[in-house]
Amino acid sequence: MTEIKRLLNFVVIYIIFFVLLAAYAHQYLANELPCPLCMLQRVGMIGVASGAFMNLRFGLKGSHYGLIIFSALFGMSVSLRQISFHACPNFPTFGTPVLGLSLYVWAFIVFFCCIFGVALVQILHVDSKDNQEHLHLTVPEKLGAFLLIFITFANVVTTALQCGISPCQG
Amino acid sequence: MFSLFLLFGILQILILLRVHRGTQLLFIFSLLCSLVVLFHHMTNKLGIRL
Repeated sequence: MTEIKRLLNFVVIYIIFFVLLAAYAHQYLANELPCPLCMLQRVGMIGVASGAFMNLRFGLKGSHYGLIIFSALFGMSVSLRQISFHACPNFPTFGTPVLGLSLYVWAFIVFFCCIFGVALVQILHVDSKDNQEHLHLTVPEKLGAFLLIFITFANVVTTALQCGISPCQG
Repeated sequence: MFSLFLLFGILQILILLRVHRGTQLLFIFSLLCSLVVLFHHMTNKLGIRL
């Protein structure tokens, strides 16, 4: 059971990495700079992945899942706020839609799935001592960790270039 | 805004180095800072004064 839960946390890190990478691809291919709310949604996603990373590094703990839920709730509230901005009929959406949905709607779906997944893992949760025995990262887990750190610092650089030290008005 | 990402970047490096002490507090602090930025954005956009 512990192996399955570790695998799920590992998968979450990779999913978040690819979602953020896709956001970057969209940003540069469609030449659309992210809005402040989009950046806060990225912060929420990085928070979710950091919680999953804590589970891999420090062992599976309820407090780490709690931090994942906090981050997902934060991101969800940001994306819901952006959805509500553009919910009125005949009101333009922000950015080019991907597969028929705007990026902030996709972000809302990602955060919803994170909370749903954590709830599912908690239902399957069985206390066992081997939680603390598998703390060494495997090669794919290490790669995921480095990719996560890379995409986080890429966001540091691009956000600093776009907004400087201001809170990024928009 | 970039400092939020920086906080999470530092947090991830601490996790990678397995520095357990204070990481959860730093995590919560980062989330609180993000909330402050969100409220700043909301009050700015809607003209609400808290």
